[in-house]
Amino acid sequence: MFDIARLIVQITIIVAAARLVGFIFLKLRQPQVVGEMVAGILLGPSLLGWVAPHISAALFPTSSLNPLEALSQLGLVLYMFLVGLRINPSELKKQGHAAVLTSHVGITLPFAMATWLAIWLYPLLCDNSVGFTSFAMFMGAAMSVTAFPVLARILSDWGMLHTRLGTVAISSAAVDDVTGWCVLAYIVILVRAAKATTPIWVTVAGLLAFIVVMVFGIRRPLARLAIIYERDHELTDGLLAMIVLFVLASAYFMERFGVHVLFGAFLAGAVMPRNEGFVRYIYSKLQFVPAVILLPLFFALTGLRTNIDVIRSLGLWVYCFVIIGVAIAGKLGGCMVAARITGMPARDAVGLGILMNTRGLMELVILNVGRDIGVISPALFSMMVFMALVTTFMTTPLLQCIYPTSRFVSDRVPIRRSEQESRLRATAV
Amino acid sequence: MHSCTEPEPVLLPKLNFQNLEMNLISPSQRRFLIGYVLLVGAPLLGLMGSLRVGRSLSAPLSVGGTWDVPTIVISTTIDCDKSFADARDLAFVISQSGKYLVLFSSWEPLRVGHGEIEGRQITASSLPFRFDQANNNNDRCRDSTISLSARVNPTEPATMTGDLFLNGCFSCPALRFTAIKRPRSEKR
Repeated sequence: MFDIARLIVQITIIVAAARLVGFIFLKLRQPQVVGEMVAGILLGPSLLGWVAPHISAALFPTSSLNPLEALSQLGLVLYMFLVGLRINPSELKKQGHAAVLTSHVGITLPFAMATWLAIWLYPLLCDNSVGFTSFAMFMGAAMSVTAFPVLARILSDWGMLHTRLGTVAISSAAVDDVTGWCVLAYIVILVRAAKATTPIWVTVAGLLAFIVVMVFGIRRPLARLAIIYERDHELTDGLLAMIVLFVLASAYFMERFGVHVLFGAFLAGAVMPRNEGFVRYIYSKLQFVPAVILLPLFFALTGLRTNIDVIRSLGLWVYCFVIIGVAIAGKLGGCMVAARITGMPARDAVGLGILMNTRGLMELVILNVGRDIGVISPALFSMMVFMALVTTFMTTPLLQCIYPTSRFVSDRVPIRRSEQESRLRATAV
Repeated sequence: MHSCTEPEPVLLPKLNFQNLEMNLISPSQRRFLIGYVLLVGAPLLGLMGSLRVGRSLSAPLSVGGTWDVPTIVISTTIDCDKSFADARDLAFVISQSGKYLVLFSSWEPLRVGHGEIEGRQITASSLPFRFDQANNNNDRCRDSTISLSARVNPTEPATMTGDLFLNGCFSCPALRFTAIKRPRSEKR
């Protein structure tokens, strides 16, 4: 039976923990979102369930998690819409040599390294309900992702957003983001098609038709929204509700086509008008609830799925550290070498590698999709979450080492920011 | 009227191929191309190679999910039978990570045991269960963990047949059981 009182208690504890740990991480000059991710892990079996199993079982019994999960999925849908809204085609087009090589190497090298790692891990940490190709491709996608929002936030905090390094990092991360989501969509289709009765070509054809309708059919009427905004400097509640309904409908159809609700939300964001003021306005209206309330629920649910105790033997910890090593070598190492080849100074090349190695929330989203469709096992999920935390957490201290004299501008207020910077910061929840 | 003179020879400019090459591809472009081939092309080939190699690999049998134990055949002459006799609705939940298993039973859902699968054989030790003290006066059998050894038959519906051993109770014979796997939803 649905217990509203318990749900309120759960949300209160989760949001309070997220804000508290996020605040502590801000003081440590880490992005707040990293603290919120850690808070989620702390509420799960890795800490609370281990220290006080009865309290954990009373607070988060398995039977009570469905409403939390529904709310967190709704939050993710809105968040992915905002991520799609942030994708700026001009950022993808204006790439120079450095950004082209860095972004392509940043995908292919960690991807290939992950598939070779998968050869070793498949007989140990996977079971025969998952084919090798799906497993290897998923590992590749999970290893090659870059957390664009966290990256944008870090660059902004370090006053690097408009430097050459910042521009290359942002455009490379944008390419990585789009490619990563396309690869993940393909994997989801592959895995779901293996279990479904519908032939895979029907799914792919339906998906392509949907994308064509969205890009060439719906995009034009949506442009009217930006015109109305420019005229009135605001949208009516009815129009805002229509945007939300559009996002939900897109998510629904994508799920029905056998992909995932999140891709639908992302696509809905990607076809929205790119008018600078309009994008900021939509952010200001739709960001608060998902960022402050619903995403912490997602982090907590991820934490409840993550159990460090599963990695109980030395052998499993060895796998975990190898995964972290491969992830760092592929992304940080690959991007660093690529940047150096294009003539970037050594320090900036290292800085770019460090920035591109940030995985953050995007990694958690991908891992949860993988866990939902059953591609990764609980132990591997926990190891990959650990990898996501390590690679995200290490970014700021490493940048501090590379740029010891650089200013951390977050605590110097007031700062006059450009339109683009404000927009990027706004996405960096 | 055209005069019948020999056409003038077309003078071709003398080509300097070295300069032409230098003009077409600058050093930075050459570096970019070499870098692209090495750092993008080679990993793509490696990716195809790994997918080819991986096709021949096999992963452990999938046993993750809930296993219902409708019957436990209990010997009526053993000392510990009452402890198990109450467990009519016994179920095992197996969380599988490849060959590594985490199990808990409906007897004691808050504590987990660990096991492994090799081929079709599952072994697990220290699987917690609630010892029924009220019905059992045998001091030799106070250990509250059991071991499990079973063989999986993967044909649908998958079944698992094996024995449960009460750890530390040498007088208790193994309890034979058969478990049936519940159909799994996509989300696990």
